[in-house]
Amino acid sequence: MSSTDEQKIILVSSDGVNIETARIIAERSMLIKNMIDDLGNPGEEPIPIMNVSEAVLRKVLEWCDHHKKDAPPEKDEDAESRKKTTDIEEWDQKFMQVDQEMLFEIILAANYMDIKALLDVGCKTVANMIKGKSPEEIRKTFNIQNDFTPEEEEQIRRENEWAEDR
Amino acid sequence: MTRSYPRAQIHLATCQSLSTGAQPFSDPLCPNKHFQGSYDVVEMDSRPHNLPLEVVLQICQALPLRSIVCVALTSRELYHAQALQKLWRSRLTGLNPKHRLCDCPRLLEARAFKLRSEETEMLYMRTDICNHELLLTLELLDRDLPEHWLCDLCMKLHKRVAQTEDGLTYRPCTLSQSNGLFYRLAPWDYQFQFEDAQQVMKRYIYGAPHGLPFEMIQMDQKWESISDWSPRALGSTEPSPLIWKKSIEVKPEIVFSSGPVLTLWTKQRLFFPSVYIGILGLRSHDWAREIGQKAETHFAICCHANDTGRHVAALLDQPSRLCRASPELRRCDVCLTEYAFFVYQEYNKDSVEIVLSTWTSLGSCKHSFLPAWLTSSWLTSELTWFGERGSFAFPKPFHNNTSEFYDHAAFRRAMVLARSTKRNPPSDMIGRLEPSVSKESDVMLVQTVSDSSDI
Repeated sequence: MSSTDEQKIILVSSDGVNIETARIIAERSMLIKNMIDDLGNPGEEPIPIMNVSEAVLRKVLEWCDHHKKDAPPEKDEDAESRKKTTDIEEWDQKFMQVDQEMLFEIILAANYMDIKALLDVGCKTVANMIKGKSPEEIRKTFNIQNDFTPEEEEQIRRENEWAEDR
Repeated sequence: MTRSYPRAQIHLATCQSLSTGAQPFSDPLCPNKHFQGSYDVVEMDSRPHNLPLEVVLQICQALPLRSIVCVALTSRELYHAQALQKLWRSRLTGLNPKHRLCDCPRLLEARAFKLRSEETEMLYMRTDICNHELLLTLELLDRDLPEHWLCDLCMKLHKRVAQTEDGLTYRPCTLSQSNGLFYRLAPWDYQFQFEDAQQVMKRYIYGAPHGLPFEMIQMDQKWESISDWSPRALGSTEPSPLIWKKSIEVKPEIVFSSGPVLTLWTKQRLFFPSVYIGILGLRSHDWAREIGQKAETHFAICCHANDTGRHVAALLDQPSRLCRASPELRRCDVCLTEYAFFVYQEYNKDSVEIVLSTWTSLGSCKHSFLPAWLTSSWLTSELTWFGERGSFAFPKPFHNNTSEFYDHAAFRRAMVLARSTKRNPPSDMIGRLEPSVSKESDVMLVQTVSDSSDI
């Protein structure tokens, strides 16, 4: 088994850069794991990661490397039982201290590469940025365009009974 | 580097992982099949960094309800997204009260409210606010709405409507008006409603155009002349020289004690010219008591402490009264008010100036049910309620004139905690009290007064 784990595989980023990594690290991604299982002959052919650029892929692999010994995610994880906290491990917190663009690239890559734990950490990091902010403050933080007209906003307040009806 | 992912590819990725049995996103409320149809309708630029809706939904899994509402309100697409609506709409409205409380465990809730421990005690006395989460949500929405203010009695945002020279003001909520939640110094005709205090704090925290300026609750009433004895009763047509004066200055200040606290600092003065004291001395053998009675009628410490007359008379009786009386800081037994009396008497004149300085902490003025505000305000009707913690029975009405209010266990605990965390009045409080009128000549004073007086 250990020989399989140390096996090297090559990933190709969206911008065409080959990145060599250990199979055990790459298999944190369910996408890669399934591809390896499907393809057979791991290590022989480079695996293309179509939607992830080199910088992001390296960052994602750095995370996978640190978490390669973590228990594999349970398939039947009950979302209800998922801790509704925004506690993040210290290492992960430091890992996520990147600019916003990179943070969202990581989240998208984790979503695409199907790395549940990384997606979770990313979402919690964003949740911490959202917590305690008003809608306008959230828009400012994430550059979201406010496409409501003032009348619509008032209508929303009225239909939800947040503002007095007059 | 690509900034966003083509929609179709994300869709593909989701389908692929579904086909292999691994679910990248497992939210039972929002199964993936739900999104497949909606991808083509959504606008890409209305979500944070063009994240797919499923990721936004996963982010929401780690958010409290109020923040989910705020996320939903950032753009049209997110507001109308059915999957997101499922997460907040039904939970925020139309649930039974028990459910809502369970959504928010006690400690989490206190933290969410950013309440101090004594304020948490009071939060649980207002069991009529069973949906605390709604209040917190409205509080967040209120931050974007400078033209609105939030009423925690009717749990709604109200629009400010009337235009004044200071800018926009608001229309008080009819519910809180009938509750008569206001701060009052009755003898001085000084009063403001809870909303005023709340709005002053809102401007302090969020700046203009939010809220109201400090000047709204500031008061600087210059010397006002008062005549006790009508000149006609004395058989004279001349203006009476028997006039004394009073003035008040009320200044709101912000003090920090685990957050900004609104503090009212008042300086109330009575000035009795030497002629007045002379005649009073002729008419009454105990003029100090008479002056004390006047002080009791015209001074206002808070709505509880009422020992003005005694203290003023005692100060006047002191043999050392020719010098500046040494002030003693006293405090109200009920509310968070501290006060001190001062008597000034010049060496070569007999005029007397009595100064009352009060220092009242009104707390953060965030909610009308917080202890510092409740105890120092006047409540004119019985429409505010206290309930027992953990009980869902309709709370009992209370009135802060009744002993039942002050004897309430939660209230007592809250006040003990509030006292223990209260900041003392600033040390320069005494230094700020310089006699003003007594430096003028008595004759001048009386003349000025009689010129303007038509008594």
